[in-house]
Amino acid sequence: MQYLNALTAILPVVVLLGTAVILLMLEVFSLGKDRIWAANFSLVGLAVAFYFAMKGLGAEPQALFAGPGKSAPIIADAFGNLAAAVMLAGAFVAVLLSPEYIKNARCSSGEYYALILFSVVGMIVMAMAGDLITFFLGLEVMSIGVYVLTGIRRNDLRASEAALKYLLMGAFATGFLLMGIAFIYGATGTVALPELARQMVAPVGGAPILVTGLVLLLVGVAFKVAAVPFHLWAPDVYEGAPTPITGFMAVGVKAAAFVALVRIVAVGFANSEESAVVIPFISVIAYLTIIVGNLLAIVQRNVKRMLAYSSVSHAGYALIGVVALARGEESAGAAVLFYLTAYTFMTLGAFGVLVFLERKEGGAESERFGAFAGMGYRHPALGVAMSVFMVALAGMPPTGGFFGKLYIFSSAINAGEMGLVFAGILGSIISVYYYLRVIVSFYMVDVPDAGPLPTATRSRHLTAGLIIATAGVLTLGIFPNQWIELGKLAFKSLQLG
Amino acid sequence: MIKFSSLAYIPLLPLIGAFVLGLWGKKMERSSATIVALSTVLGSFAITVIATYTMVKNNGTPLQAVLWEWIYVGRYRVDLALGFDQLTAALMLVVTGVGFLIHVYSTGYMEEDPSYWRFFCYLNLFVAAMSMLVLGQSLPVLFIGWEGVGLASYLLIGFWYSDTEKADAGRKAFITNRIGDFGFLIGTFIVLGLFGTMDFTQLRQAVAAVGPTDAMLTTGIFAGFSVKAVVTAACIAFFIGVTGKSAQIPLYVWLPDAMAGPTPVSALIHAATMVTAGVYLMCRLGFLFTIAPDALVVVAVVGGLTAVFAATIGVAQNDIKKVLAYSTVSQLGYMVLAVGVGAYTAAFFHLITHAFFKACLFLGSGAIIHALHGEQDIRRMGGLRKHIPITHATFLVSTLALAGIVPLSGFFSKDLVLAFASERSASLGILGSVGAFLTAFYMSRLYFMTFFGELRHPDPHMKDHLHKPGLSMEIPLIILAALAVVGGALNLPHVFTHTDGFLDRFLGPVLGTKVLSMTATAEYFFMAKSVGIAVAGIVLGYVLYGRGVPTKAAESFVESGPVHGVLYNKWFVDELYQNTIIRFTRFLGSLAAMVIDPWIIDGILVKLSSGLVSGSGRLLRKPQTGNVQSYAAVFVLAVAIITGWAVW
Repeated sequence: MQYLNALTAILPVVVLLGTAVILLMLEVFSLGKDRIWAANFSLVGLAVAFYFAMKGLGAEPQALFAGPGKSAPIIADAFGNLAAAVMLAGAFVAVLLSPEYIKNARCSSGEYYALILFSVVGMIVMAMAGDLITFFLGLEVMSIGVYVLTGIRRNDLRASEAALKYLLMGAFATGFLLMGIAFIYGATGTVALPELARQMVAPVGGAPILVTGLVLLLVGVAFKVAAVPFHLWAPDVYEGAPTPITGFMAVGVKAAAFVALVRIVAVGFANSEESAVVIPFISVIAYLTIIVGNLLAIVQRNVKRMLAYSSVSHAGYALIGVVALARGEESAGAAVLFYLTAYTFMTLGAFGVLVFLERKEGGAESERFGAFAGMGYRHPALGVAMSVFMVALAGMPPTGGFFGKLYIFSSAINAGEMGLVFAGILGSIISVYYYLRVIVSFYMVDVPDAGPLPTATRSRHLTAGLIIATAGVLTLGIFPNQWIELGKLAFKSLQLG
Repeated sequence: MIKFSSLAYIPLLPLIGAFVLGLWGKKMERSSATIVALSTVLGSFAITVIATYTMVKNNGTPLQAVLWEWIYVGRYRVDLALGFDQLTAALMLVVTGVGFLIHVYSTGYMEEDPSYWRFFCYLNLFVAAMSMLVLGQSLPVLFIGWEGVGLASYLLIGFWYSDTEKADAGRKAFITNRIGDFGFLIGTFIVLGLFGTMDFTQLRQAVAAVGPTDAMLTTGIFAGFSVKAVVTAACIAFFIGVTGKSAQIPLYVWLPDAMAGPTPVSALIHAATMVTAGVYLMCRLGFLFTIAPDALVVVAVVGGLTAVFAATIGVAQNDIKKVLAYSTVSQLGYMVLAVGVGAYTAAFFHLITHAFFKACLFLGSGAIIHALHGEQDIRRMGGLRKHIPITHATFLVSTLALAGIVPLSGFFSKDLVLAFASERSASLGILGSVGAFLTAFYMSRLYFMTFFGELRHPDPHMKDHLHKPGLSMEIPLIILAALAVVGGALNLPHVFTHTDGFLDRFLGPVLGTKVLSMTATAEYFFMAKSVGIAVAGIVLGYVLYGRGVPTKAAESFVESGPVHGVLYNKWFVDELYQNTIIRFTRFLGSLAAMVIDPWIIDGILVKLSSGLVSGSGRLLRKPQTGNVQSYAAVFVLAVAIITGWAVW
């Protein structure tokens, strides 16, 4: 009975699990080849889960599933629910992008949508994790789903290579992460975040072990968000994975890892000397990620790969927020949440446009800048949408991308991290070059010859996905206040819990 | 302050009109375009009347409407707020009232223009911007309107843009005004730096709290200067803005060229309203100018010189609109002069009466040009009083008003300005009197050459197919002429009524009151002198031009010869600017184009930096081999370095 009550506090997770399981069972009856029904069914599940997540924003923070005398593994608070809402919205758009891609790539398979739902469950568990083990469990649930999704086009060499690389590197990084948790447990005797915070105040014996543990934990997270120098897998994997999944990975996995990191830093390691030791380390990673990500994005000729590196650099901007947070600047928590929200819409939108433009047979060729020549005139609405996403990614008003950067940078200035802000601005300036290049090839490059047009029939799902993404980017840019206020409230719930 | 949110509709209605006309005007019926254009301005006028009534009923408490929070940066706050006090009311009634009359007139004047809708779109845009300027509760909001009217003016001067000369006139107006706007901005920043606010109400309080103005500032960015010095600098900067917008020396050069626009535009924008924005600004900031007496001296001298200088040029012009344009510059000089001697109410009084009679004169000249199928040269006119009697009558009344004949409106306002000027300093008074004489002379020259004698148009049949003005053009003329007659009642002199004039009492709370110190006898004498000067000018005009053609004496002194050469060519000021400032700017431009752009921007900044960036990008690509083993190796190496660094 007690567990039943607890389940009502995490209804989003319950709904998603139920939807996914029913999907798998319905698959037995093989209803239709293109599985549009499965997409629609997942959308309903995601929408219902989103509803419960938003509803959970107002509820009191609850510590769930705690054994007698033990700390709670799951904490359902406003922060977790808000993060869940962002991830659910991201997954919703990713699912909307999928039918068109599946039709073009002929890779329809039954598990596709169920795997997305399971991954989201993992992400939400990460966001609500009350201890490091639960965090790890969520991370693995999420990762396994994404590994499989990456290689779901089994007959495609690039996809298989990507899946294998991702799995190997992921397993490798997970080893470090687990080792980090073990070290932390060894130093403090606990993995529960509130308990850790208490342990940290008292002088901890064996500080080097704790520091090593922290570093290894951060390395594991850095791998998941593709921060430099742990990013090497990302371009290969992003390029090989089905485009909607690339988008889903780029936003969902990143958001989950960052949200979990914010919770760990804000609850577990706030204001302790040992955690202060690792701040320079996060800073260095942030510097490297911004600079290397942007520089490498410039030299790419494949738009999908360019977006992969751009997503690396965006992890760098979000890391600035984490540094500010670790320095005790509380506004940074809401800033990171805002940034991730804006990033979700603009990145998924960009990948959505890619889904539309990729040709069936073209392979990697159809993703080159040159292949987009004149697309802005052939598909005017699409051109406008892509321009909005690129402008947003470059961080220009009136888009969410601008305010995301603004909030991050201003919290970093408050925390006294001028160097990082400078690097962030420099990176943004560089990024304008490659983002605008997309717009240039859309509008200002002469079409070499009128060759075969990409499939002109646009699925309703894709159109809806692009509309949602565009609306999200612009809404966040025009009415940023509501969302940042929500983020602040959510962050406050974190500190109460 | 009373909240009165309907204020927002005063600029909003014409803005909506401009929006609708701009987007759908081309497809609209002419009649529906007319309805949109006229109804929005009439609506603004109605709201202005209601607002004025509300304010007066509440004992003159200003009204306010805050539309939204606009700029909140650090300790600086600017709301998009509109305010409505007596000064606003006076000017807004003129802007929307006269503006509406001119809209009505334009329906007749622009009847046959293919871009009818575009004209009214711009005209509505102008009324919206001008309302914003007058209603703005702070300098930045005022500046929105200030720039907006500049834009509308530019668009309307170059309305017939396919004619290069007209398009160039538009650009000249815009660029000249940009120079002034720069001064406005500098002034704004100085004020912000000194007082920390740009809101008029707060500024007024801050200025009142300043204390001794000679004391040195010890803190802030102006440490080491006295308040007086800083405020003087700000006022001079604002005055540079005023010389642009209100066409004073040295930036007046755009206004005569601006006559390239359709005549209703010249009447509304370049005579009655927009060009008075500078005078309005100085009245609005009167509390600031008052503590900067040195700046006021500059203002007074520039105003007085402009009044005479422009009048001399007006004497030798042959284009009917050019004469009126220089007359406008000269009359604006009087308003500026009045501000310079601290007589804000007198300045505003002249602003209002001038709006009546000058709008009437311009619209009359429009009717004449319309009648003669586009002819603007007064040497080809003559004898028109028989053919277009209503235009003639209204033109005559307004000419007399402008010349300052008692008891027309222009007499009262100009006399007040001159009286204050000569009280301040005898030489300013003499400047003003010379200007008044010239005004009477060039206006009578214009009047006689246009309406007397026989029609001298090269087309002998012109007399038979004159384009008679319709009702839509005549009614505004009559209303404006009537206002030009009775406008003086707004502020009758103290000696007549033994009480303060209406405007004095009405504007007192905003502008303060200033009364003449001369005795009643002296004042009567002064008035007689003013009228005498005006009559002398008119008589001279009649002697030289009374038969509609220049007499021999006029032919040899005014219409030719060295004096004529200098005046006709406007003292060669345009040539002077061309050979100094413009040439220097061109030199800078070519320097940038030939040296700075290709070598420094393209070479060092672009090529070098892009080379650096893409070079380092290529270098960083090296570890990206696609080989999982090497990825893992990099990973381990990085972890080792970081852990080592963190622990030791």
